[in-house]
Amino acid sequence: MRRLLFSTLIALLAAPAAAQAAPTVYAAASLREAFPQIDGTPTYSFAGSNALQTQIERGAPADVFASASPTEAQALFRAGRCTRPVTFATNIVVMLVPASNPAHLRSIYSLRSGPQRRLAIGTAGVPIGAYTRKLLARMRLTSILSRHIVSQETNVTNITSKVALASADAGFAYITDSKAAGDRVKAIRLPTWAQPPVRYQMCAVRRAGADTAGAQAFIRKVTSSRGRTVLKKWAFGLPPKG
Amino acid sequence: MALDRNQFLRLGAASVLTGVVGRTGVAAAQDPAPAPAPAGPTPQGDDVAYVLWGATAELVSIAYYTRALADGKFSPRAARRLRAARTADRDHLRRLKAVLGEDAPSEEDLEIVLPDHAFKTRARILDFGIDLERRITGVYLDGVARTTDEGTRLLLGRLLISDGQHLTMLRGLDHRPQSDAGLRAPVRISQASPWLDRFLRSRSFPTR
Repeated sequence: MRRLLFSTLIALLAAPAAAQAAPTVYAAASLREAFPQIDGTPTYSFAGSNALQTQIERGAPADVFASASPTEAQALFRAGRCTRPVTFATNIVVMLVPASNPAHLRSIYSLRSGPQRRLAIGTAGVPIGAYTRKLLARMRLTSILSRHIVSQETNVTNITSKVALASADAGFAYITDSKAAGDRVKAIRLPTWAQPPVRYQMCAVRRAGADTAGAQAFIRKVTSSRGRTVLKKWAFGLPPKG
Repeated sequence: MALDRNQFLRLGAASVLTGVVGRTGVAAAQDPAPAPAPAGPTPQGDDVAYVLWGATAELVSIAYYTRALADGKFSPRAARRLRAARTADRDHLRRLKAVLGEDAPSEEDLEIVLPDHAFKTRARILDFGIDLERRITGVYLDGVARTTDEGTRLLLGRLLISDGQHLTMLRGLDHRPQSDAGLRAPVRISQASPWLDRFLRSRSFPTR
């Protein structure tokens, strides 16, 4: 009897501790600065959204998934692996050049002629790579990818690093990455009419043992006024409140 | 052979009839047979640039005609012609959006901001419209020359003709010569891009 009471007491003490445990957040690499400022407690894993989606499909212990395009989050939702995704931020694609701009690139159209340059872009599967290809087609500039030496990166952080280190003459990333890289890079704006809509979506992962309450609490923090203020500070666009 | 008055009139009527029938027959023979319609537009590769640029420019054009009608003091006849041009542009936009599907630009994503100074006087309003239609037809012309897909090329050609008529109409309202002095030069998207961007604000990225 005494043993039973003792185990019940242990279970009661352990329960709140489990509820308070921080969730595990799998998020697009471009959120690596903003998310920890919104909430420092979760365990974060930042990478390309498509890679994170694959990991979750294989049973990775994520509680929240935040992707840089609706494609990945919606695919998990359709497969019953996460709750209905919510849009929480927007972004735009820019051309990054190193601060010293050794290739003297003034606009994206500089890449139509002149000597061969080194470009860093995302792979076709990662959102930034898909957005970049779409934007280039919209500007009738797909040919620049065959004209120059192109390195294909699996996430946007690698693109920004290559440009910041001047290992690439230019790269295509989000405007938020230029903010994160500070004065190591310069961002060259691309036309508004050609921008593909870049929308970030987030959902709570459905799996056995998932911290659903923790996941929902995290989603509420990101979409709160404070969360939106932090996102804006890092140059993200914001969808209407609602 | 002598002809009385009745015989003379019958002969005349028959000659006229023969002439009319003959001419109609010739006209019918010269009418071009309608070309077999190509499949609907399916832009290939970078063809999409012309469709997207066109859809965005038509949004700007619709905003222009709306503001011109509100701000300009046009006669009822001129206002009817401007309204007709706006209706045609709405149809252009609908056709271009159908090609683009979910990638089509919309008023929800883009806010069109036209410069106030362009709407101060009737002359300025017409100047702005003429410049707008010149650029739009220039890009459509470039698209006709460069797109790969036949259906897309046909659509751009049809839009070129329609917007060319708007250009003629605006020149007429401004008492300018209605036709081009020479052959029109195509306008590259790279040239037209910064001009179009001047009138756009992104609603989905409001910090800009």
